[in-house]
Amino acid sequence: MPDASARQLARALGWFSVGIGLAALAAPTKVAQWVGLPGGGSQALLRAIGLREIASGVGILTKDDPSSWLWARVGGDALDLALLTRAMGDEQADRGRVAAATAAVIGLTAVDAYATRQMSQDPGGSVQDSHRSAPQEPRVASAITVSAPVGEVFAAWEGFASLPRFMDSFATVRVTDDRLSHWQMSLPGGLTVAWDAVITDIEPNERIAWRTGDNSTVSGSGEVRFRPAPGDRGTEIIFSATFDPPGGELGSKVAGLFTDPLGVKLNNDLRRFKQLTELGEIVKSDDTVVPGPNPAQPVAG
Amino acid sequence: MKATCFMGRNKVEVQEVPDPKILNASDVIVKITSTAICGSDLHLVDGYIPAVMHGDVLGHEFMGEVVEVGSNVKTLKSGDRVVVPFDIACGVCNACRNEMYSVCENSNPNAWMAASMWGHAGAGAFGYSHLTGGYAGGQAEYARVPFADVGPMKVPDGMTDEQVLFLSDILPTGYMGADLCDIKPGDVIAVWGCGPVGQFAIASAYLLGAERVIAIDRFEYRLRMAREKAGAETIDYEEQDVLDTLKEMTGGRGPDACIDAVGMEAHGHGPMWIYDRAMQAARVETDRGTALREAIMACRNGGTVSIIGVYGGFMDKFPIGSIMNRSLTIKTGQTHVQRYMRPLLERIQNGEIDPTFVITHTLPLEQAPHGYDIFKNKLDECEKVILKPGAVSATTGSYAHA
Repeated sequence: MPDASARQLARALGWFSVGIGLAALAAPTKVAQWVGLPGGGSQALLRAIGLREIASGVGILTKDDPSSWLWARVGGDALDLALLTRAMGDEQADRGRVAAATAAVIGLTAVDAYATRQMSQDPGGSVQDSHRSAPQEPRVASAITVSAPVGEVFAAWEGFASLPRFMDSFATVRVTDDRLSHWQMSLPGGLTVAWDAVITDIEPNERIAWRTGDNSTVSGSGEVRFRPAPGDRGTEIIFSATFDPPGGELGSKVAGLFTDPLGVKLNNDLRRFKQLTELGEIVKSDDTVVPGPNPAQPVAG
Repeated sequence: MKATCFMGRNKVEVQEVPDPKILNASDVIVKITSTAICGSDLHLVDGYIPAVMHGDVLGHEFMGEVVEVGSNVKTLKSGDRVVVPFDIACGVCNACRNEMYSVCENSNPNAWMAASMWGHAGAGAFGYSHLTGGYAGGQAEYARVPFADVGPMKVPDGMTDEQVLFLSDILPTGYMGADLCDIKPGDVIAVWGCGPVGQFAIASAYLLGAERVIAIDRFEYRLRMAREKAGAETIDYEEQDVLDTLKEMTGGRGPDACIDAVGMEAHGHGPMWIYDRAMQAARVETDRGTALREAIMACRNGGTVSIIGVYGGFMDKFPIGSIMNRSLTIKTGQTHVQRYMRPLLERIQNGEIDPTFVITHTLPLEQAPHGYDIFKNKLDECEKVILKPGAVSATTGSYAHA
């Protein structure tokens, strides 16, 4: 039989389906706005999606073997992705929201596929499989190669003092001393999480590790590693952080949905660090000055 | 200033917009004297490239006079006459140091968007959607040009705009298409598409030592230009079966290298053509493969397929078996314009190539919508449209086409 955690995850996904389904039925326009679909999206389409979600949710919650209904969720995710991909091409869509929704659905698809595989598992599942099903903390990671020697790159990160120059897309950072920094991150839906990062370990030119301090809404830890890039290409920077969100395993799964978009934001910041190091300034385009259409757009009226 | 703006699918208008400003220390502002409409602009206007927004300024082939200089610009000053590469490159990252300018690691501030579609991001480009950075384009009176010491090239005195404008994109692009073929004496090269890039690919293949060049298109006026101006033998694919004809012309071997100068909006006939139209209309594939599939199937065993026509995303029914089992090599890329500009300028100065032969229309900037119309719909034997900001215009208007 599938293990208890897989069953628990399946139930969570079932309730999630029901919740999303009810929201899409009751307030399709709101849901369309939330995911950034143009013109409020098609109400009929969103209601149909709502019904689909409720059907698969109820199926997952009531059946002894929910794997076929879980497969329905995976199929539904594929449809949602197709819809969002179309919306991405529509200039009236809110690009940021559609991108975030797409990333969330990709995350959900992964969770669905994972749960489905776990539930569809043959009773004599191998040791390796049961090892893989161990719950994991949500992890955000990104890496970049910068054309500069390790010593120079490490010095720019030491004490985190220069982080605010390039890290405000992932989170805003305020550095108070050479070991302590205060981070604040906005999540979709107006949520804000804040944490203090206390540097716990410094290995010169190799690694800076930190963990969260007491005044934090999330707890977790992270590290930045530095190593020379092969072929004389400068320095590889690998940034990773794991979070321990409230709410136990389900909380972890929900937080896991945000890790893909956060990875994108983190990567944007690492790119900006690369620009600062290689060029001395952050590269601007019309889009970075005024997001959306070129600011050289037609004068109103 | 006046600028050519994307106002929706198949809708281009010349509008009054704010002037560009210096944003980075290595920027210059260029007052544009000549700019051109590119076949790849049609992919944007036709709605096949994502992340183009209402009001975005189009155009990536332009030249003009430097009128404002950022504090960190070392090689240019006000009054210099420059031609500007379409791809934006920083000049210092690993890619730029290896002359792979069109995959510059620093010039695309929207790299995340491009990476989500392509795995990794390419360089920024002027007027070419928010995927390539969201930079305003050059079919306008002025443009902001970043990395002014890396991209823009000073134009020698005595050369006309028409002689050097195409160094911004299509001449290096056609030339790179031939360069990627690694041409050896005796080689027969086939070129799909007789638009301006195809014409320059034909001419470049001869410059690089090709024995024969065979060009494929369906518009007689374009095939005639390929024969008369670029020196190619031609195949009209609506009259002749391309694969059979190429076999006959090459003693059964197939061309030693095939250049795809068509890209994602290829036309054709037969069931695969209908299939591609349907798949692209349903957004199941972004790129129609009619020309590329044929180029692959036609290529001789062990030959090279060079792709310089623009593709955006995904293609269906890609003949990987033909490539694998016949030892083909695929080479491709957005043009590394900065790599080819100076050598090609010398070839123009030496009289080895005169790129002006592709120009069929010169219009005031205000008539850009008309230019898009005749270029897209192959009206009035249109091959290449040059736009002149500041020229007096008799008529203005907007182009809206179903």
